Amino acid sequence: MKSFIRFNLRGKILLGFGLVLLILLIIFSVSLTSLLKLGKASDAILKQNYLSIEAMNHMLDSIEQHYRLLYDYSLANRVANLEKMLDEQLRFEEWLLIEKGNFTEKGEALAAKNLEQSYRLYLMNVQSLLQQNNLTAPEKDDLLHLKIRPNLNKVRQYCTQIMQVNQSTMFNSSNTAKLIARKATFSLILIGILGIILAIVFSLSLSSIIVRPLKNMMRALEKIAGGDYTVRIDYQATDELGVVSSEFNHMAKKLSEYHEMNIRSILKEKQINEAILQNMDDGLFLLDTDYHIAIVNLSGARFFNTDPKTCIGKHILEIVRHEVLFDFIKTAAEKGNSPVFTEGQNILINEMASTKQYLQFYLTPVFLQSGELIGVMILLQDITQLKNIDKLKSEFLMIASHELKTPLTSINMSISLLKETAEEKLDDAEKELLQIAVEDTQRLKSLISDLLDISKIEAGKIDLNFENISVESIITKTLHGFKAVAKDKEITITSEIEQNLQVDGDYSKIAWILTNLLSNALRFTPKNGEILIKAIKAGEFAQISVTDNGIGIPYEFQNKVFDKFFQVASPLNTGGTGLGLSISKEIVRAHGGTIWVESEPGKGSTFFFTLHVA
Amino acid sequence: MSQIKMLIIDDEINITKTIAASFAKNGYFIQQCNDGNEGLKRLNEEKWDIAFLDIRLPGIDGMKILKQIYENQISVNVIMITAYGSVENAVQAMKYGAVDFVSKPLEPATLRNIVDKIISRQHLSEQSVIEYHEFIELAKLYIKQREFHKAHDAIKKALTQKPESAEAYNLLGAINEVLGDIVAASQAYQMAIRFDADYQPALENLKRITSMEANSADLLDMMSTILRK
Repeated sequence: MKSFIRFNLRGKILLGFGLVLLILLIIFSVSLTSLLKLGKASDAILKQNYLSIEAMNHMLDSIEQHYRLLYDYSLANRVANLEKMLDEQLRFEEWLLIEKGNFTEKGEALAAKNLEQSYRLYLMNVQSLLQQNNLTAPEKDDLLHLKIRPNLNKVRQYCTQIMQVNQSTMFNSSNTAKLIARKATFSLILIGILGIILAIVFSLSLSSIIVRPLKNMMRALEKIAGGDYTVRIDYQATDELGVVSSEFNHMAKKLSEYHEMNIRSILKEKQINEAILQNMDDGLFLLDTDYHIAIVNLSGARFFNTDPKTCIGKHILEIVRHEVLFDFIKTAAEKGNSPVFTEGQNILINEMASTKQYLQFYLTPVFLQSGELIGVMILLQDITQLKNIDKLKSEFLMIASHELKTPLTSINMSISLLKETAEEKLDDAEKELLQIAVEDTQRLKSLISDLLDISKIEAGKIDLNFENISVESIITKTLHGFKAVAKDKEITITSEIEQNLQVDGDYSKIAWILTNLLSNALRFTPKNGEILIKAIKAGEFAQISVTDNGIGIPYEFQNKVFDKFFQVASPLNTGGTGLGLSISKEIVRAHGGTIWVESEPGKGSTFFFTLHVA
Repeated sequence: MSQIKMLIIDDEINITKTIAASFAKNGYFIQQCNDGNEGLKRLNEEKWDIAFLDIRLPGIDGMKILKQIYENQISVNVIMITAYGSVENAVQAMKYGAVDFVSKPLEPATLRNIVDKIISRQHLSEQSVIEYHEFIELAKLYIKQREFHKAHDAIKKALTQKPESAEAYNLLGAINEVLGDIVAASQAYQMAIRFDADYQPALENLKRITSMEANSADLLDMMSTILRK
């Protein structure tokens, strides 16, 4: 392909410079010729004219001298003049010779010829005068005046004529020189201007010829960078830029194909996403930073008796009139993280649906990769059915436990009454049987009581009365109730409580947890054991722990102890309901805290729970 | 009192039977009744010293019977039987003069204890009492007699004997409520909880009273009851 390049970029640039060089050369030669012409006119020619004039002057002077010498000689007979006359004759001949070799003007040669003839005649007459010694003075005078003198005048006349011709030529040539100089100046200016214009035009066109495809390329690149992959460069030349252009077009085509492929896959992905979004049962809203709805799916809109199109662009409060939710959204947007909800906090009761709807919401601030917040995403899950089932379960638990209480009362009463008279009526084996009935009735009673507690908590019936609680005081008060049991089992209970530690919580519920943990610790700690209650401040939380050096919990059960009805099989584990830790967990969660256990089988357990510092 | 007359009203035969059995050795005159209306009729017809009354009864419920007792000015010491840890409307019951509660599942010992207390409190007089529990019993006696101001004073005296008693504070709260002083009542309940965090009656009362404050209908109802007095 390169072999076909006729004018490559280098060639074009060289051509451009070559042209400018040519113009320079023309200007140079024109000015040189003009200068030469001018020099010739003013120097060579003028020199010759000047020589002619000088010759004429010498000749005039010489002949004047000659005539005077002759006159003196003839009339005053001064012989010495003869030699001088010869000198003058020689001088005249010399200049005549010069003049004869220096004809420059028209008619000059003729005039010179006449001049020489007249001079020859003059000399002939002089000769005749000099040779006729016998002439009288008047004869001599006649000869002088009538024969010699006219010839002298003729010589003088021709001399003057030649001088005049040359003088006029000099004058003319001076004028001509001026004219030539003016012409040269004019033509130089003209050529110069033309050259400059030509150079400018040429440079401009050349540069644009070179730059235009580059500019096109630049524009095309900008467009491609801007995402327009359809752009092509229309540049057919075969120079280097032509090659670059065609390579560029090739690249653009590839890019465009790639982009289209990308777009198609993105589009497909988008459609898939859209389909997922629109078909999912959960409602989804994406709010911009002004809390206007940017994206909403069908379910989300349907929850509030509207359709996605109507929602877009509206403020969230126009669609979802729920101040609590809005407060959470604002907090999420301001803090830039998803809010942590306590149990039941993120449930929205939707009255707009035909039947009362429970919607659980989750909030996620959405960030770009650059870290810029673009809005908040709301996910709404219809948990009405779950809620109803849960309610049903709680109600069932509550009713069941209540209904169980009545027959339990009869059983309990009967057994208790029987026991009162058992001593005298029954034998030991029968008494033992009765004791079993007594014990298990007690167990049944506490089981029912715990079931009621947990069903109340689960049904949300137990509201938390938040207040500032001194950790030290609540622990001390709770410990008070365990003194007798601890003394019985010879267990020492110590406490390490951080001074002035206050938590935000429900006094009775927290006391309940402490009681539960302490009674567990006492139950699983053998005689002479030790129990330690510790309370420290850990950031925004108070961390309270109950440590025992009892039997510990097998590793495999450690994450199950908080499950409902879970009990580790152990001879010490009698009389429990398996609900205590589960209730504790519910209470701690309702407080926004956490509860966990660390235990080493055989060495003891530590139960921790955290509460918000007041 | 000569022979103690006791009426047991509960729809569960087994319950009335076992309650009766608990007092079999005390030599009381005991009658069982398994229907609310029948029970009310017998309360109206005869004079009884002690009546066990189940709060939840088919037909006419315990609270309505209590209201009738109050309106008909029947003098009887009512012991309310409840399936819950406490009576949901203990203050209302107190207004009608009922101050003693037992909750299911029942224990013979508890029943005997409460009956003994009731019997012994009948002999109490303001001049004779000196101990804490006597003041409490006296207050309960006054409540039965609907002498709420006297009951209030008795509780105050009980509290001078035992200033950390959750029971006394709870009772004080209930009396204050009956007297219409919601703020004092709320404070008293809070004190009760302060001294015994797990004292259910006070917790329930406080919860009720605080939620009631937001419920103007209930408040109006209560105000009108107080005004009528």
